[in-house]
This record gives sequence, structure tokens and C-alpha cells, in this order.
Amino acid sequence: MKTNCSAPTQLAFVKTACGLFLALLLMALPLAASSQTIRDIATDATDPFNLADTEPSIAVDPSNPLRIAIVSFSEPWGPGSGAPVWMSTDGGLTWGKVSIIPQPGAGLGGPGDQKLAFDAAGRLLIAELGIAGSPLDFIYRQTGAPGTPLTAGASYGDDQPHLDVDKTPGSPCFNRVYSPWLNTFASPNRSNVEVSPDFGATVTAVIVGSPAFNNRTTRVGVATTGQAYIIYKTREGGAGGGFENAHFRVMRTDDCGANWTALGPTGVSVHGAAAVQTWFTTSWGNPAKGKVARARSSDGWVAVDPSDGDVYAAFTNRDGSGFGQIFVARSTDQGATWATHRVTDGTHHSAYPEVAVAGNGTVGVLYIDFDDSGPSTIFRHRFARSFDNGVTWTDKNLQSMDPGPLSNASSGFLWGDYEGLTAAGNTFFGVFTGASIGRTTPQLDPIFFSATAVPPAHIQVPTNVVFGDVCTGGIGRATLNVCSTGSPSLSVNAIISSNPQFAVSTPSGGFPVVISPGACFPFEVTFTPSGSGPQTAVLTIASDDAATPSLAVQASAQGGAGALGLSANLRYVPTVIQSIGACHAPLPLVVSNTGTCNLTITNMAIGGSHPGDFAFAGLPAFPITLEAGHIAGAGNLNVVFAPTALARERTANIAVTFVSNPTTGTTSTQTRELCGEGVHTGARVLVTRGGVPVPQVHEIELKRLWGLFGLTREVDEVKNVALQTVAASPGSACGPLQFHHEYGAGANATQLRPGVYQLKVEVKIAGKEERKTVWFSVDTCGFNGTLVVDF
Amino acid sequence: MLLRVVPLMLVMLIASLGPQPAHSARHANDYRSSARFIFGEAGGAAPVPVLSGEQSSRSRARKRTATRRLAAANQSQTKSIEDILTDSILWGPDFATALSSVPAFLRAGETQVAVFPDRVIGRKKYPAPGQADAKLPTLSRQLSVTQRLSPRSLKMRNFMAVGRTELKPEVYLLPDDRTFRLAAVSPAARFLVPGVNLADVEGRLGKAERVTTELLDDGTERRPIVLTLHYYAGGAIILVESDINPRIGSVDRVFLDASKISAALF
Repeated sequence: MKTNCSAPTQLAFVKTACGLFLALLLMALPLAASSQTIRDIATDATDPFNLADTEPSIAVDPSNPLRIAIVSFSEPWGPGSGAPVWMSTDGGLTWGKVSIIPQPGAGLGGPGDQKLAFDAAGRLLIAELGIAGSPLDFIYRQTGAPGTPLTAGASYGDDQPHLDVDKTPGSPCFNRVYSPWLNTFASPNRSNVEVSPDFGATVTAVIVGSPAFNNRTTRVGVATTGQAYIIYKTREGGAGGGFENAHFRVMRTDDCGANWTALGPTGVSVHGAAAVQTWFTTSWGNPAKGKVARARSSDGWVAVDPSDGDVYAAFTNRDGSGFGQIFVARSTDQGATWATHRVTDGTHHSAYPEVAVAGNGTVGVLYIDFDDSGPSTIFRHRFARSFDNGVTWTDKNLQSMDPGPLSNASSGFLWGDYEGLTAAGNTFFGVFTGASIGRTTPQLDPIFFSATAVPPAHIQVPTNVVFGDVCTGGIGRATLNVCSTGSPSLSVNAIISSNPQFAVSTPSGGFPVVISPGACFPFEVTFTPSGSGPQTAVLTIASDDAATPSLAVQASAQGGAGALGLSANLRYVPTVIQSIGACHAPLPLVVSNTGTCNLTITNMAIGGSHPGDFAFAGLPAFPITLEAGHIAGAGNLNVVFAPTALARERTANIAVTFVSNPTTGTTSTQTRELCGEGVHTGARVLVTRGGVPVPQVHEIELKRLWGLFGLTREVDEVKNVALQTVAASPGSACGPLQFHHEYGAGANATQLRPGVYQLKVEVKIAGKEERKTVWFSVDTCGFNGTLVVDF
Repeated sequence: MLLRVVPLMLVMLIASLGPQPAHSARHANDYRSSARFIFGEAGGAAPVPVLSGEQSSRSRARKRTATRRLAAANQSQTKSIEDILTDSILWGPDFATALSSVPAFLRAGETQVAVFPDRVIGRKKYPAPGQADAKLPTLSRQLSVTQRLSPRSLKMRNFMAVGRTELKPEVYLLPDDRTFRLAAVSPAARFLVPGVNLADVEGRLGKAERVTTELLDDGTERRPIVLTLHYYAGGAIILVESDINPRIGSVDRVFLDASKISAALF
């Protein structure tokens, strides 16, 4: 990479003045690392001796996050030869090895333990343990150009030196270097912190920890406000099964390392008063199923959130699950109080936690678990992230490994006591000792990985899409709210409907639609019913939500349409053929809309045998549009019967044509039958006894009244009149008839002149004649069709 | 120049004879001092590595190693104990002295000894110095006896006729695993050829019968030392690599089966 900020060497040193460049880099890194990257940094060329490369640690140059350094137990130093640092200047894509850690003193073997960091200006610092009769620690500092041998500082300490440096220019302790270590020659073993104002050239030891028990696993984290924290454990006796009772305590310095008693003389237990059961074993794994690791100082880590100063402590504890588990405690008050949550899921033994906090507050934990359910133990390097301050965790398996076939994997020390995890900007960078990738000889190698700290986009749809009734031929519209509840923007790429009647309108800007965190976008959904009845669809939303790349949302609607309501067949009373008066019989015709949407009636017509005897009255002009529940003609529509001939049955029919499918304009027709009887003025007589027609009437006599004094003149007299039954024509609207005698109708066409008539009926009941007399009138259009004489 | 070619342990030993740095005094009363042997730094500045030259020479060494191991891979190991013990590629000019101490260690209860460039130590681990102290008189007495033993074969008698040096018995705190060992020391001795490469050894002795690893863990948080053991002569002679030896692939120490060696030679 060539920029104005780069020195000509491959291990470019980027000046702090290149702020804009760095800002762009930090912005670009999460994008570059949006997907997890895993890379074996060793090759056959850079690791020709197939070394195990155990106990790695990692640092990212804060002045140029593309510059990453890793140390692992690779080549030893020696007289005239330096131990190596793995370096990448392209964000971890490619790696080289520079032997820049000289032997710190004659006779000192090593590296023993090591940990590295960059200061704010990108200068490399490494804590190293040299082994002779007893361990000696050194802080190496960069005194020359990048890539040239480092310079060892003053010797100090004993076991497992760690290292961090205050990188915040505004901090009161800017550039202060802290190196915790363990004094194994003290009884009990005691945590110490070496403090240096000059990158290790000179150091001052501060005894920390607790004198009550052996101390161990001392780690350091530095806040941006000048405070520094250490975590250590007090070993309080074996608990069986490879565990021991312990407290993990955090201590804080507020004076650049001179004193570490800001949280009390021995610090604060991050898990409360009760001891936890943490690992202390040299056979972590299942010895019966392959190689094992040691886990004695593989249970504690501390980091500080650069954004808000919250402190995170990772530790192990055998909880109720029976498994050694990873926990993370968070303190929002600089270590005074802590809240703890479990990272792992309680199904496998887990250990070796390292915790780091990204610039956006996302917490990452690198750890290892193992699965011995198969024939050999499978160790899994895992990386968990929490986007809610350590409360909930999402976990990914970085690599599964069976160390059995790996010749350089030494049972008892597979990867070391700890591995490497750090964060730069919103990206996590880590290294673990895992199975090689692409090497000629399968072996343990340092495996680099990066992962974004940006929480994944998260889609949420608050409600399903529900339409009301939508009339066929119309378009219903509803809103599909798609919300982004993650931290980054959500990108909606498409929305597909399973039912063509439902569609999502393409937004004016087209797809993809980018929804800001916390916002919702109202997509318009249309429903175009093809018919009536309930309709459903699945709207599938494709987005960049990694957890839910495809979200199904239910849409439902009711397709509506108008429906024709039509009177039953119409049967008219006997109606007099027009002669003197304009005789006719109207019957209302109910044409209604019984549906939920408008109904269009395009035509109504009278047809059949005698259409001329019938006519509409009050018929609106076509087309008639009926709203739901309405009646054509507002109730004034009638069909009028005006017979033109004497006949028992004068029939016709009505055809009502309406739009049955508004979408296509398709019409349908319903018909009703009409039936009337054409008569002259007259009457029809039915004689009953107890309501039942009698079979025969002895005599029927009809007289017409005339004059003013009740004078009558006989019009007709018939004897022994039998009951007549007339059946209706099948399929017609006509009905059957029963009568004994009639005047002006089919059986006796003789009409009665308008006037008042006396009808005398005589029947024999039980051999005895009985009579009844009734009166009725006939007007100019009169025909009394229901003259019933009951005995 | 010599310091740049001798193996690590020899350098450590030489350094121990120099002035003790101030930091050592901080632990003057700890148990290291009771171990009667304290490693320390040599005075003066640490040697400055010449990176380009070193890397170039390492690269050449790697190629040599690979070629030799490939050549040795097809050879079967047929050398006898006597053949191996008299092969000049392995042993320094004072090795006869170390060899003559083997029966003494056997009689002091050690079944296996480790030969370093300047010392022979028992493989039996004593957690406390007192336990080893109790065995020290026996070793001391037997050393004076076994130094006068004469091997049965003429070849061995000739081999052992030269390079005799005096051995001083002591209890030694092995820094590799912080255990106490019976030891016979001759600070000026050279029992092993410095930096002899396993590939070269395989070229002469053939491929090892088997190869195993052994961890030396001192119980602290420090990195354990990983030894790679190459077995010859039915396990009577084991050539050992150490992962902290700066000469990768070189013989860091040799384990001898005290019983088999004694029986074969004397």
C-alpha cells in the first residue's frame, strides 16, 4: 500500500498526522471485515521447521490498523539471532516474519512467555520472558525503524509477563507501560505489575494481588481515561475434576500504576463473594480420546470499553451445567460493582477466554471448547460477540481441530495458556494456535482471524399486512412496515409475493431500500382481487439481515363483489282484460345488491310466451349501479300485468343482466317467471266445509241486485256442481286452482256486469240441505277470485 | 565468535561463571540459591543480531537440513551402541568422562541419564533438594570408582582412553522443570559436539527407531519446554531436540539408558 503517510519500508510507519487517512481506514475496516476472515499466517516458506507456534498474541497498530503484529512460540532467539515477530501491513491478508527480538542477555533461552502491543505512534512493545536458572522478563521497545531489532529494557519479574500501554494522547498516563507478572518465588505466589514511563527502559515493580492465597493469571487492560485495571485469581484449593476454587479480582490504578488499590487492597471480586470453580489442570480435554492441553492460567482476561470506560472481565466457572463455562462480568462504575452473564451455552467444557471491546462497545470473547462425544476429542476455537454490553452473545466456531494427527501438537501444551484478541475501531482481530491451512505437513500454526464488531442488520416487521374488503375490480392498498432494529442500516433487496393478487409497489428509488437503524420503511402493498372471498399471500422480504435473510410476512384480504338479489317468481291475481277500464295488476320487482361492492345492472327485459301482457313500471335507465344493500328503482320498480286475452295462464319472464366480474366486465343473467290469469269481470266460487272444499255443491244460485229496494234478478243457477281442480303448468310461476264455479274465467267465460250480486249456495250435509247466502260486488275491473263459502 | 556457535546450555554455563547481575540478588534467599547453581547473565550488552546474514545462513541451513533428512529417511538404523557411542559426529572431546559416569549414576539409583554439553544429570526428578542430597554421597563415591572402569572392547577402551576430565557431583536444579537432579559437572568439559544437527546424525546413524515428545513443565505459567526424542539402539541412546534451543534441529542433550550402556560397555 502506498500513501503519503507510508514510509518506504514494507513495515510502513504511519505518522499520526495522517488523521484523515486513518479515519478512512477505520471506516473501511469494518466493511472489509464484515465477513469473518480466517487465515493461516504461516507457510512452508516462513515456517520450514514446522514449529508449533503456540501461545500467540496479537496487536494492531492504532496509527495504521492495516499493520498487525503477532508473536507466538516460533523460532527461539539465540546468540546473534533474533526471535521472530509475524507482521502484516495489509490488514492480515499477507504475513511475513521478521526476527527482531534479540536474546535479551547471554544465557537466556526463550522466548518463554510473551505479549505485545503497539503504542499510539505505532511503535512495537513486547514483554518477553527469558529462561535461565529462573525466568527474567524484559520489555522490548522500538528504538530504530520498523523492522529493525528491538531493544530490551531493564530486567524484572518472573513468570508470564503481560503487557499493555496507555495509547490515549489525552490520558494523564499517556505512554505508560504496564506489565503484570507473577512472582512464583514468593509464598504465596504473588501478582506484580511492572510500571515503566519509558517503554521498559526502566521499570518499577508494584506488588499487587492478594497475600491470602497463591495468585495467578494476571492480565491488564487500560482505559482511555488513564485508569488501568488488572485481573488476577486467588487459588483457594482444589475442587476436583480439574477445577479449583478461586476468586477473580480486579484492581485499579488511578495514578499511572504507582498504586493499584483504587478498588481496595486486593481489588473487587467480579463474581461476588462466593468462590467460583475455575480450571487448574494439565489434561484439559479427554485423555482417553487424544491429546490434552494444560489450563492453569487460562481463565481470566480484562478489557476496557474505549467508548465509555466500562470494564469487562472474562473468567471461567464450573456452574450448574457441570461444565466449565465462560462468563463475562461488566462494571459500569470503574470496577466497583459487576454484573455477570454466561457467554457459553452450558453444553461443553470451555476455557481460555480472552475479551476485547471494540470502538462501538461491542464485546468479543475468544475461547475454546471441546467435544469428546466422538472417537477423538475435537477442540473448537470459538468467537462470541455481544452487541448489548455482554448480556446476550452470538457465537461462531472459528475452527474445529483434532490435534491427534498433528505431529507438532504436544499433548499437555497444545496452544498455550492464552491466545490473542484485540480490537481496532469496529473490528476484532485475533490469533489462535490451530490446525494449519494449506500446509504441506498438517500441523499447528498461528491462525489469524478478523471479525466485524458491527452488529448485524436486523429486520423486524411489526405486523402482518391486513386489507379490509376490497371490491373486485378495485385495488386495495395497505402498508407493510419494515423496520431496522440493528445498529447498521438494513438493506431490503426485494419483496416477493406468493399470490399475484398481492403486490409490493416498487419504491420510487427502487430496490434495495436502505433503512436506517431504528427506522421503518412503509412499503405499499396492493391487493387486486380477482374474485370474491378470502385471499392470503406470503410476502418474502430479502434483506441483508444475516440471521434472517429471508423473512416471510403474511398478507390477508377479503375480495369483495356485488351480488344480485332478485324477487321470486311473480304470480298475479286474476286480472280483467281491459275493456271498459284500464285493468291491470302491478307487483313489485325487487332487484337488489346483496354483495359488499357495487353491482351494475346492464339490462332488464321481459320475454317468454306473452311478454306483451307484462310491462315494467318505475324502471331506471341502464346501466343501473347499485351500491351494497340498495334496491333498483328505490322500491318503485314494478312489473305490471295487463292481460290481452282470456286465459287460465298468461306467462312471461324477466331477465336481469348484471356485471358479475367487474375486472373482466363479464355479465350474467338471472330470470324470473311471471304468471297471470286473464279474466273478464266475474268471480270464482269455492265451497268448503270446515275449510275443506266439498266434492259437490247441490246448488249455486247467483242473483244480481238492481233497483233501490233490494230487488234481485237471477243470473245463473247450477245444480250438483263438482269441485274442479286446475293444475299449473310445470316450471311456470302459475299456481293450481280449485273452485266449484266461476264467472268470467276459463270454465265459464260469461262475465258479470258490474254490480252487486247475491250468491246462494246449497249443500247437502248428512242428507240435509243447508244454504248460505253471500253478497259481493263486481266493478269494472273486478274479478273476485276467492269467493269462498264455508259451511 | 565462540559464543555465537556454542549451544545454548554451554553459553548458559559459561555465563554462570561471570558476575551476577543485580536482579539475581533479589532472590538471594529463595530456593534457587539452595540449588547450589545459579544461572545469570554475562556482563556486557546483549549481542546485536545481524539479521540479513543470520536469515541467509538460516535459509541455507534449512535447505541442508531438508536434504539430509530426505537422504536419511531411507536408511535403516543398524548401528550398535558401541558404534554410536564412538561416532565422532556426536560426541565432544570429553565424552568419555561422561560415559564413564553412567555406571555411577546407575548405582545411585538412576536408570537414565541426560548428557548436556558440560554435565551429566540423572533423569530421576526430586521435588525437594533434600531428597537428592541423600543420594549425593553415593553418586560421589561411585564416580570415583567408575572413572577407573575399563570397557570390555578394545574399541571402547581406545575411545575412552582420551578426554578424561574430573566430574564434580552436585544436586542440580534443572530450570526446564524446576526439579532437583543428581548431577556430575565439569564446567570446562565438552561432552557433546556443539550444535550437531539431527539431519547430520541421521545421515550417519540412520533414521531413529521412533520419535516421541516430552514436555518439561515447571508448574508455573511459563511455557513448557518441548523435547523431541529420537531413539537409537533400542532406546539405549536417545538424541534430544529442545524447542528453545536456538539451533533448531540440533541435538540439545542426549539421554542414555544407564543399565543398557553399563551392561554393553563394562
